[in-house]
Amino acid sequence: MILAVVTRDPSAVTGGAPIFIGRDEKQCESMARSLSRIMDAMAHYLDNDTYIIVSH
Amino acid sequence: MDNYLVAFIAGTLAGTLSRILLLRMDYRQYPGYPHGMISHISLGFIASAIGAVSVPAIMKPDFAAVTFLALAATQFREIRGIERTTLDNLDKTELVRRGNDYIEGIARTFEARNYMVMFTALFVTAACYLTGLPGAVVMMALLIIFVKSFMSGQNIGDICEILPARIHFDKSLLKVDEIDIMNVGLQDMRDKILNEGLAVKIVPRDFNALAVINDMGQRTAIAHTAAALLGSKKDIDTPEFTPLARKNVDNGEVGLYILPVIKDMEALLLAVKRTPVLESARSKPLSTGAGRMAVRKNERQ
Repeated sequence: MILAVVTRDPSAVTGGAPIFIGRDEKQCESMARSLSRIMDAMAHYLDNDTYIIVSH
Repeated sequence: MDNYLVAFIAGTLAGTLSRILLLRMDYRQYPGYPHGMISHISLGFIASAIGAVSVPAIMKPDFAAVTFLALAATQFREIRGIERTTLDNLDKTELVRRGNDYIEGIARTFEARNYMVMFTALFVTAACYLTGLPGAVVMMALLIIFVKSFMSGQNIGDICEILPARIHFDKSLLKVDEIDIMNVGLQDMRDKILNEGLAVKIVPRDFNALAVINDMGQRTAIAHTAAALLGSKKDIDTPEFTPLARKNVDNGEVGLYILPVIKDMEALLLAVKRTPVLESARSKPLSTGAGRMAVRKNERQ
């Protein structure tokens, strides 16, 4: 299940999961790390500077 | 009467001893807690007493007693249920799970071992009654050899080649040689996996072995054994470090990735080799005409 999406480009993402928008790639990665630790989930990287936080 | 008593004691002792030997033999299925060990030895003792007492009951002959003994023997079916429930409950809090197939295999083994104990006690009692103590000793030695050689089952190392493999990343995709394992999003996790991870490739020796390691339960059991013996750095908030076994969809080879506490390739190879082949995963497509034909045609291409 996708718990959250972290992206630099809000136009690339839509849907039901919470979307977090980062300023740059570094901030996106940092947010993805924090979210994955908070929710005991895993951060996966998609091509377009977008991370999805998935609970397996 | 004395004859019966000596035979009964010899049979019960032999049965209980064989249960203790079976407990020690297999470290993976050995209950790691003393109370579990005591309960299994006690059940083994009861099973051997039932097996041993059935010989005097038949010789007497007291068929009502034999019927009751058969009824008592069926109660051992419940052992499978007890063991399954315990292991299921423990598995929920395991970081690297055994999986249902492994648990079912262990539960079935525990049940079957009690029946083995019953037969051991029965045969030793019969031998002792008919030929005296030397006969009982010979019978017991034969039965222990039988139990040790035929009840231990195959290991993964018997049916597959286990080779060291290379961990690398294709962008964020973790790979073991050419096999895709999973997408790891965070760069520092990727670096840690590259530096501290280990991987092996499991290459089946024939089509039967391929069917075994393609079973999901079997692959979970391999990952669990590797993590149990080498440790795993996985914690509840680091699912990236979960040991995973994934197959090459083209040739059925399996790649196993693990982030062990002790980074030792030889130990990992040995751990994978010693993983038991699960009964539920065992299948023999080569013993069917269709399976043999498929392999022959595939070889010709």
